[in-house]
Amino acid sequence: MMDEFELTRRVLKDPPDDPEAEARALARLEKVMGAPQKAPSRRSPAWLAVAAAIAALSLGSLAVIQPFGHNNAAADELNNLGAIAGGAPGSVLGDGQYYLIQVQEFGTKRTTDLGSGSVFAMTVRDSMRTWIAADGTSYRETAYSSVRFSSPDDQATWQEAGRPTIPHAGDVDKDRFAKGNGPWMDTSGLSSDPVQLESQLRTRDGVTTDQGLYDTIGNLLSQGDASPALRAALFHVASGITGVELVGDVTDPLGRAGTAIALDESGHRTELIFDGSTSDLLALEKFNLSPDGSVELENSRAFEPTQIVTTLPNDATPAKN
Amino acid sequence: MTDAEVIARSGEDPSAFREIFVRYHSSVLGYARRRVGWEVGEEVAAQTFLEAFTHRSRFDMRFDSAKPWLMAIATNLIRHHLRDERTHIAALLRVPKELPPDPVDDPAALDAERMGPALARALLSLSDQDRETFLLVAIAELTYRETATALDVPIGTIRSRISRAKTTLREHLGQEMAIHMWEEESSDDG
Repeated sequence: MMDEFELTRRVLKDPPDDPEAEARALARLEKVMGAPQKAPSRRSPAWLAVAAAIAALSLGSLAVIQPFGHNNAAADELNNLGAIAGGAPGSVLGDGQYYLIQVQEFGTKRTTDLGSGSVFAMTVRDSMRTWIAADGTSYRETAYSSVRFSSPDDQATWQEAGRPTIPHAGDVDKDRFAKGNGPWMDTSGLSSDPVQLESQLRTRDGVTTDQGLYDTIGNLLSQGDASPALRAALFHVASGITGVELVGDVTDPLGRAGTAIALDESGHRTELIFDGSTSDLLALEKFNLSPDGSVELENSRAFEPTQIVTTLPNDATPAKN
Repeated sequence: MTDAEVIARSGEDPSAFREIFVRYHSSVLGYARRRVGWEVGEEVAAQTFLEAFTHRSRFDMRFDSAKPWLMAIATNLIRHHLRDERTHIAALLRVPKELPPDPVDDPAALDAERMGPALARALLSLSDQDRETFLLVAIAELTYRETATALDVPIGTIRSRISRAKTTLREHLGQEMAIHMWEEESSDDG
């Protein structure tokens, strides 16, 4: 089967040669070429590049100030976002109120069948809504809009494993969680001092790699329940991670304009996409990096602004401790 | 003689730049017409070489090939014609008038005919950035590194944009391709 590039080449057909168009364009060009010219200056000849490299090496102190892989543009952007986050109004839940967190997810979900130990992958699109009460209990609904096996091999593995239950398009899972058991992170007790915060995240949450730290920061920012001071500190910690890279202006999976900042490590890439005017995290995207240079989207999560609501779906009281 | 050497020579002898036109006009014209259509594409291609000649001092002599630079200029010009691009791609949404007479001779051509509308929908759903990156690789046939040079972004950004674009395309095309059979089967089985 053709890949996407070949298919695109075939659908957007290469137009036939057009000598007349070529002649018209050349006539315009020759008219300009015949006009009096300013001689172009050679730019960046090889010897100049070598000289620049030698000069840079001689400035050894630069390497001490900026560790390899540190990207000033990314750090500056993260610090700017932190300043915006720190100046935003905070929110505190009252009795009978809930944070409503809405996430659109797309990507690969790997399932291990506990009986056989087989692992199969499915490509899933779902919409997840989570209500978190002030006491830490919560309720979540996950609505699946698309579910398919990632490959025929995955489907065969699933069949060989005895066809364990899998979600289908149209299914809605409903889950209740006691305090501390929800699939999100507890922001209580986290310091708003960046140094202490980084230490807490690395120890309390067992983060051992920079990528893990970056992911954790993304997850905490996505929850919407962190105080402005904590959010500012999270941005500050992120700005100090070696290797963060400013990707620039992007469009998130929901079509919103944002600024992406990425971190590559150990064959994985995490991109966080922020609203530059509010510092809100719009999306978190994970990619697999192959040694051959190819990149595959592993999953994406797009976040809608966290709301405070006073109602839950019917019969959906969060679990008690 | 490399493109860089030709461009360097055109500093003293402007007519030398004609060689760059001869080498690449056809590629740039094809790229532009495939993106924005026949008439606008011709104008974009012509403008590309006028811009390139006027600003040839900006060409980075460390690169032997001028192709990424020219494609970058064309891409910048196309950004002023995004509505034309959408109209051009949307034309593919129309059901093909007739299929090739003997699909056995060229099944890939038949696939392309059938997939045209789905591909058009997929391309239209991409962000402008992801679409232009994908099309620089797909139809301008630049490498990822050349595309990064052309768009002046890190190669990792190119990789993630391409990955996003391919994922979206696969999602749209998946409805037309054999993959839908797995989906149906899993629904039946599950």
